[in-house]
Amino acid sequence: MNINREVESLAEPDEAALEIVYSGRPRGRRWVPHAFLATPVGVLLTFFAGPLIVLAMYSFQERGRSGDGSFTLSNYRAAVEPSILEVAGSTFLIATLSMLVLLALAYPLAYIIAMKVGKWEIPLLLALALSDELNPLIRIFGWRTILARNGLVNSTLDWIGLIDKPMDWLLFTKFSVVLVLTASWMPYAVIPLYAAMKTIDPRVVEASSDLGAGWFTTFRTVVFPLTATGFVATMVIVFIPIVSDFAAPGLVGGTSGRMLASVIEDLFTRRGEWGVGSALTFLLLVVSGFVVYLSHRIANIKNLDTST
Amino acid sequence: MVAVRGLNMTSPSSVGFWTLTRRRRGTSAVESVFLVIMAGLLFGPIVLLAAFSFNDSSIIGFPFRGFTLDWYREAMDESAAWESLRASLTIAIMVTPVCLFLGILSAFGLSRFRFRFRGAVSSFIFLSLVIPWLLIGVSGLIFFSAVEVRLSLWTVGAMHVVIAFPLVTALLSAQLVRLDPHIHEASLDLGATERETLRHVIVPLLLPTIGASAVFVFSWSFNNFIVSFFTAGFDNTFPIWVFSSLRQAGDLPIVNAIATLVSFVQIILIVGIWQLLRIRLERRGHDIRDVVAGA
Amino acid sequence: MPQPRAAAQMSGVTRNRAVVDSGEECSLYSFRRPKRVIYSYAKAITAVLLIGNGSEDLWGRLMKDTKRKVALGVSMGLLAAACGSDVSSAGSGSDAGELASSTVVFFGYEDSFLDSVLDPFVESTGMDVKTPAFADEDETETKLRAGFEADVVELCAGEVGSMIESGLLQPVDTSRISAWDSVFDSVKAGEGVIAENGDVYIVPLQGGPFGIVYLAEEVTTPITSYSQLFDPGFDGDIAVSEESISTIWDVAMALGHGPEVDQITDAQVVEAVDVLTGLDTVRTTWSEDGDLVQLFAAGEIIAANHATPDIAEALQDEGINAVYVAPEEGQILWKCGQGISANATNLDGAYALINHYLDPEMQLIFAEEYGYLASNSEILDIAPQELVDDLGLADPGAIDLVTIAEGLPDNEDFWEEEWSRFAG
Repeated sequence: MNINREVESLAEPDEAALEIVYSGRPRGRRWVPHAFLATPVGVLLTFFAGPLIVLAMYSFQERGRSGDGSFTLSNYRAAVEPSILEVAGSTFLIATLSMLVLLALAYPLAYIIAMKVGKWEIPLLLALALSDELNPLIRIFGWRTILARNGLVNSTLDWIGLIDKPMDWLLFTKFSVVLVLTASWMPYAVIPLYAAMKTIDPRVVEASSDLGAGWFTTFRTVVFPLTATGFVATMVIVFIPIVSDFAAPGLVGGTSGRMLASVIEDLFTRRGEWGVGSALTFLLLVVSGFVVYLSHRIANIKNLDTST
Repeated sequence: MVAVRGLNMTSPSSVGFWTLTRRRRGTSAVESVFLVIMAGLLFGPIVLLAAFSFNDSSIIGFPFRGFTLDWYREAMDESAAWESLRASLTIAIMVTPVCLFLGILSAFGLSRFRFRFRGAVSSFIFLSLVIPWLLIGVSGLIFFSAVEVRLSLWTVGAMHVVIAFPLVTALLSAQLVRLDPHIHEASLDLGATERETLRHVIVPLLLPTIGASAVFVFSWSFNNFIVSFFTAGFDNTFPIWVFSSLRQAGDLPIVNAIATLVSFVQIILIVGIWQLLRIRLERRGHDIRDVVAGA
Repeated sequence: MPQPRAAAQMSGVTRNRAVVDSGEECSLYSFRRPKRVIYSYAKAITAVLLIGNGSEDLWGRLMKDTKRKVALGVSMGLLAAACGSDVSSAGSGSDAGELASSTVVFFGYEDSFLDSVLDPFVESTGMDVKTPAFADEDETETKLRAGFEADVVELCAGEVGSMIESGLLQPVDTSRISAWDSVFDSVKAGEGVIAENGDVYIVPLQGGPFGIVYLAEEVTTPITSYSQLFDPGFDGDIAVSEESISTIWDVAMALGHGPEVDQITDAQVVEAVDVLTGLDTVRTTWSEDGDLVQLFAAGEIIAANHATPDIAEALQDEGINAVYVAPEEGQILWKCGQGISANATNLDGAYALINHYLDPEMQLIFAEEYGYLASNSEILDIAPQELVDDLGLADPGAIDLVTIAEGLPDNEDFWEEEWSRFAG
């Protein structure tokens, strides 16, 4: 596929150039990244690492309602009980499913906003960000009025005559959890994808179709490879908060949408098991860290694939 | 600076090519339908809630029983709500610029340079996006009481900065990573300093994302309940008031009325700023699209 | 302790920058230059919401401001530290004593902060009442355990056990509660108010019953008991309360166990959770009253356990025929009041506030506003007869023969673990 090769070489940022710009000028630049990062990292060290250390200590201490604070690993053992692992399994299932649905919708949306809508581009982007503004708790009640048995969807379908009895599965099922999670994190997926697409030179897309590639070939060989890094970054940006979201699952999930974050919340507030709660958090952290690492690896491999 | 501006004209996303693309493409019917569906998904609940805030019933749901302004009238009397709203607004207004500042700094530091421990620093920054907010709140509270810092709206603000600025970092890095390095390189080659390149070349390209980040940070800070609950002192923030009001069966429509009003004001503000900018630019003979597109 | 001293030094720096007036009480609003903050924020917004060719000069100006913004960010952090040190280091000083004696911190439910109750207190004592609000008992306990400082805490009989165990409360000296002897004996009795060693931790103020609420038109035979509600063959969907102990307790009563919470054995808890897990009729769990009313109105459920009469009333106001019933197995009586936090700094203020809330005039306000039962028998002297009859104010502990005082099982953790089988 010569055409593709051509198009790609036009589009792919030159790794060598990157090196030149970012590491090729050693003169007086060694300190620059540190100058950039000192303040943010300092803020995190003060207000985030401090608390985190406290949490880490709790995860290794005997501290139920009557614990004496001595060293123990029992919190970690309690955190991998079968009942919790079961919730963990369904959490990752729901989160993965939501993330896939989210990306499947966000990707074309970002594409349309970045490439197709012309003067509506910025208004749409603003609208997207604005959709996140309403108090999340109140917004859940909005979803309920849409999905409930006598809600908008059911009454409309009933009025048209498509159904004669309300659909039960719209609310308090995994479906509603995935739907609400998808809708609430949509802006966070579209914005980075939009950013990634904005950096594609439109000439490249044009060249591709001028050279006879169909839209799918163009997408597969040009647009997607160019946005792959952004795509993976987006996956990470949305997957992590979805895993630790508990407001939405609690309010629209009924008894079927329980997720890990609600277990952690229960351990802390209702059961007073701070140790087990902290241990579970740290396990969640390790797993999330692994997901981030894995996605970076995948992204790097993708990059290598497309540039050779 | 002329050199730098000239360079911009040759950057991939310059005016001519964008307009060309737009003329040739445009949204097809399928795409328009898709946009409408997405709008429904994102705004359906909000629009419905706004409609029900005028419904003459204490229940947020069908059927619609008639128009009333009673909920807004009752909302006006909720002094606790307005007090909490003032607190939340103050915090969000303080937190947003701080987060943008820290987020921009860290995004640049992480994505424009290669250095030792880059991976470690980046994981550390993104860590706060992984930990459930409840735990950030609880551990923050333990921390503040350990170092004997009295809880106040300041402690809430500090914790909001911690949870929100990594989001800015994440959103901006995603764009910075893909930014064509030739632009940077060319700018430097044409004699612009690092700082000038940043100011005149890179930042304008990032503005849409920075704008969106600002809206997100504001929204996170303004709407956050759990971290605020644990790190707040005497003053209640708006979400704390919302949650504590749900205990009363009849208060939901009042909460809804206030929340709707707040969203409405936010939308007016942001759209207003947008329009003002556009008018100002058009008067000078620029099209805002092209400005945004990175010229 | 190195931190406070370091913080105090920093606070000196902050003051020199004229960000904070050292004499003023430290709060976000004491920020001295609101105009400048607003100005730089407006600039940031404008820059951020893009500015095109104008961006050169504006961004340039903004960059010049960077130093100022760093200073702002840093001083924000320092200020937080400074605020803390001002107050904490003054713990033994005279300033703090003055502050402490003029302010009472009342950590409670939002609906307890009625202006009609708080205003007279402020007027008569000259003390300021700070009212941080909570919505959830469990979160309250967590916040107190993590070190939140309050004087008076709103407590309900069901939650007090674990808080005493964690050392979060101090016993109330009943000799300082002027109306203590007029509190109904039936209200003092039962778990929660008076601990086993005779210490009093809650001064009870209000109460009310929990039972079943259902939609009269949706059932063929009226519901009268929990055994009907938790029957697998129940025709229609129900919501169960998210309060695990209460729901397990209700199901156990339906199975003929109890009725007192301490009478329910571990095996019976397991049995109850098994029944609960096997029910196809449970549509969801509910948490707040506002939430439950919506569930009924949306046609999602036709009945719920552990609900209060207000819920039926709220639905009736909307023309929905909802009924509250006291279940045959027994209705649980909730009792809430005020306790004193272990780390209270203003004890005089705390007692003054509790005495104020126990005043019959104030009790009447709560009875009229929310339909709550009152704990002080003196209310009978001033309440209209109609209200006394309607609410059953005459003796709240005996409104029904089968009324059981709300309490907590000894092995709460076991109940919670079992509950996670149902809600997991």
